[in-house]
Amino acid sequence: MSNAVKAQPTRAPQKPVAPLSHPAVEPAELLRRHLAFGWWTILIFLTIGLVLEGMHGLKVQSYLGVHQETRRLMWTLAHAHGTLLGVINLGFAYTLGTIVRWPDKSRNFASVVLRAATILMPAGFFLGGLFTYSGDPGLGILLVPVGGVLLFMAVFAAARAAARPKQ
Amino acid sequence: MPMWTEWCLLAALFISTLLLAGRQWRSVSFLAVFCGAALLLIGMGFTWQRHLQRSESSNRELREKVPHPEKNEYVSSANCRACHPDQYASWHRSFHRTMTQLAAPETVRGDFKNVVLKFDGDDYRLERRGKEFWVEMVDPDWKLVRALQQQAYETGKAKAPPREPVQRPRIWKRIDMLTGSHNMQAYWVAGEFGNQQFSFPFTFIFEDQRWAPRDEVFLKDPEAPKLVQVWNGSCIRCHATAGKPLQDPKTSIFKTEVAELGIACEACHGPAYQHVKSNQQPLRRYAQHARGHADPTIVNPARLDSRRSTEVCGNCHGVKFIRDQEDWMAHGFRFRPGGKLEDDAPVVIRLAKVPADPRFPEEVRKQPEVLHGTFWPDGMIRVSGREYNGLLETPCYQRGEMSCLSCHSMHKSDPDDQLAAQMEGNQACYQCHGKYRQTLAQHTHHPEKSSGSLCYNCHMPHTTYGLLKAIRSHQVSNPSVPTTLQTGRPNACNLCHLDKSLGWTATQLTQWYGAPKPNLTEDDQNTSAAVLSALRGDANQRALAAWHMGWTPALETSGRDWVTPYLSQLLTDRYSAVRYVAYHSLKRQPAFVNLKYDYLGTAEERRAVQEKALQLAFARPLANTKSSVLINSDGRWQTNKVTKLWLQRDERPMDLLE
Repeated sequence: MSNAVKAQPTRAPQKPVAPLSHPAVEPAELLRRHLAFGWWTILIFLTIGLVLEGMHGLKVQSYLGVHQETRRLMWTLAHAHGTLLGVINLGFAYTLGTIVRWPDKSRNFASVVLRAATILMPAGFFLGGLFTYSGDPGLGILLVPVGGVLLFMAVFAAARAAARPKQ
Repeated sequence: MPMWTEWCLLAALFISTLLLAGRQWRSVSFLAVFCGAALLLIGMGFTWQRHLQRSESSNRELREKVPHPEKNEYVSSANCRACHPDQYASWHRSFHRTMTQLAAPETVRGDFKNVVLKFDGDDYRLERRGKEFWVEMVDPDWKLVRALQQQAYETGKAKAPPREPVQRPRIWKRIDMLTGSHNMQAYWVAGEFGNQQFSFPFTFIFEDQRWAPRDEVFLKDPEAPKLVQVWNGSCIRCHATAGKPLQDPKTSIFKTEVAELGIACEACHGPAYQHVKSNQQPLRRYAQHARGHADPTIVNPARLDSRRSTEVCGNCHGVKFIRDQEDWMAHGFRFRPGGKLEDDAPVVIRLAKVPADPRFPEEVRKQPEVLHGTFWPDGMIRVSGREYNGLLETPCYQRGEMSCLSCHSMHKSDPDDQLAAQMEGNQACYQCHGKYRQTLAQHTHHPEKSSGSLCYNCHMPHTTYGLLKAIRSHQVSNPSVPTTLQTGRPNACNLCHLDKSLGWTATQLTQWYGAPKPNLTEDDQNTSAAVLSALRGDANQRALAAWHMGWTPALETSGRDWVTPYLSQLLTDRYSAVRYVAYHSLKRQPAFVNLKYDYLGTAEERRAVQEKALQLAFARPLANTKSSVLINSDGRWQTNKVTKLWLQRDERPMDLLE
C-alpha cells in the first residue's frame, strides 16, 4: 500500500451565500439556549412558587379569599405550567443533542415556538389572575390557547424528529 | 384598572415572542403562524372583553341595589376558608348559608320561563334574560307611596290621595335577592329608596314546583290585609348576618348594611376582624395550636356554657320584641355571640312573663292574647323557627343541662335538620336520662322498637307549625289532657293515636303515670281528638290534624282508610294552608295518588275535587272503623254528627307569625 497521499482536487473558495429566509442556528447553540432558557424558567417559577406559598403562610386574603378563587387558580396554573415548561425546555435541549437528523428548518421552528409557548402560557395564566371579573379571568387568559397551540407545534416537531430513522 | 392596560400587556407579551424568533421572523411559516395567532387573539380578545364588560356592569348594578357590606367589625366568610376549610365546607352545604342569596342562575329555583302570574288583580310577567331574572309588575314604589298616602288620610294627617289611575304604572324590575333554598323560595326587587328591597308577592314551592302568592303559604286569615314586606326592616333580622337597616328617618332612604347575606360564620362566632388580623402571623397560629387553648379573638359556641351557647342560636331562633325602634334601625341587634342575650335592647318574649314585664307596652301587658299568633295560650311557642323560646321553658335547659348543641351540630350533621350523629333517636335523651335505656318499655308502655318508644314522639310532638307543615316542638314536655283542654294544643298521644279520644288518653295516662283525670264533655270522652280538631278546631288545630293524618307512624297506629273523608272535607277549608296540608296528606293514600287539586283554585273547583275525593273515600266500605272516628260499622260516615261538628268550627281569625 502506498503511503503517498492522493492529491485532492482543490476547489475555488465559494462565494458567500445570501442568508436563507430561515437561517439555521447551530444545534449546539440551540442546545445552549434551551438549557439556559429552561433553567432560568424553572428558577423564575420556583421563585413565584415561594411567593405563593408565602401568601398562604401569611393568609393574604387577596389571594386566599373565597372571592379570589379565580386568581388563586390562575396563579397556581401559571406556576405549574411555567415550571413544567422549564422542564420541557431542558428535555428539548437533550433532544437536540440526541437527534442527529433533524432538518434545520423544523428544528429552528420548534425551538422558537417552544420558547414562545414557555412565555405565553404561564404569562397568560398570570395576567388572567391579575385582573379578574366576577369569577372570570381577565383578557390575559387569551394568551393561553395561543401558547397551547405553539407548544403543540413544538412537541409535534420534536416527536416527528425523534421518530425519524437514524439512517 | 381599565381594560386597555390588559391589552397593552397582552400586546407586549405577544410581541416578545416575535423578538424571540430573531431573524426567524422572515420564515414564511413562522410569519403565517404569528399572523394567524395575532388575528385569533384580537378576535377572541374583543369577544371576551364584551362578555366581561357585560357581566361586570350587571354585577355592579346588582351590588348597588342590595344591602351593602359592613366593613368595620366583620370580614365575611370569604376570609374564613383559608384557615378553616372543613368548617367552611360544612357551612357551605347548610341551608343557613343559602337563607338569603343574590339572584343568579345557580341560586334561583323558581320558574321564570315567560310565566304570567296573577295576584290581587295584577299581572306579573316573569322572564329570564341571560343570567338575570326579571319581572314586569305594578311599580312597588308607587304602591307603597299610595298606601302611605291612604294611611295618612285615614289617620287624619293628610287629605285624600288622588284617585287611582285606570292604568296603574307598571315597571320591569330585576330580581335582586332571594330567600330560602330548602322548602320554598321568596324573591326581592329593588325599590327607589336607597337599597330598599320589596317582596315580590309570590313564593316558589319546591315540592309542588309551583308559584303561590306569599299570603297563601302562611297560615293566615284569608280576610286579613295582604302582606307588604320590605326586606330591610323585617327579614334582615335573621336572614342575614349582623344586619343594620340604616333607614334615614327623614328621607326614608335605606343604606342597609349586612356583614353577609345569609347566616354565615360570624353570626355564630362573632365579628372576626381581630381574629383574622391576629392570625395572619404564622408564628401566632402555631403557638396557638401548641397551647391548645381557645383563641380569645373569636367565640366558639361549643366552648360556651349551655346558656350562652344557646343564646347564640336564640338571637335568631327566638321571638323578640324591639323596644327601641330607632336604635334597632341604626345599629341592628347589639347582641354578639358570647354575650348575654338579655342585655340586648330587643327582648325575647316569654308569654307568661309579659303581664309583669314593664319593658312591654301596656296594651300588650294587659292583653297578652295579642301574642297568640305566636304562642299557645300556655306560653309554648307555636310557630316554626323559634326553638329558643321552646328551650327557655324546658326544665332540662333551665337546669343548665341542655343546649342546642346537645342534639344539633353545625359542622358535623346532615344539612336537613342539622342533628348531630346518633341524635335522631333516643340517644339524644339518654345523654342525661340514661336510666331509661334499660327500662324503656316499662316507662313508655310501648314496645321498645315502636314509634311509641321514641322519646321525641311523646315529649317533643309536632305541635309547632310553619312552612306548610307541622314541626317538632322544642319545648320538652309531657303529654297532658288538661293542657290540651286548656290550650287547644293536641297532646302527643292523640297525635299518634288519631282514632282515640281524649277520654281514652286520660285513662291511659292515669293508669300508667297516675295523672289526674279531668272532667270531659261527651264529645271529648267518646270522639277521636284528631277528628274533633279537624272538624271543629281552629285553623292551627285543623292544619296539625291534617298533617298528622298523613304522618306514617300515626297511620300505622290508627289505620289509614278512615282519615280520607276528613282530609277530603278539609279540601274546602277557608284557610289555604289547611287545604294545602290536607291535600298533601291525602296524596299519601294509595287511592288518592292521582287526585288532581289546586289548593288555590276557585271555590267551585275545590268543591268539585272534594266531591270526587269523598266518592273515592267511600268507594268501598272503610276498613277498621270505630265509632270514635264517626264511622258506622257499615263503613259509612255518621253524617249528622260530622255536620254538627263542622258547623261548630272555630272561625276566629288566625294569623300564625312564622
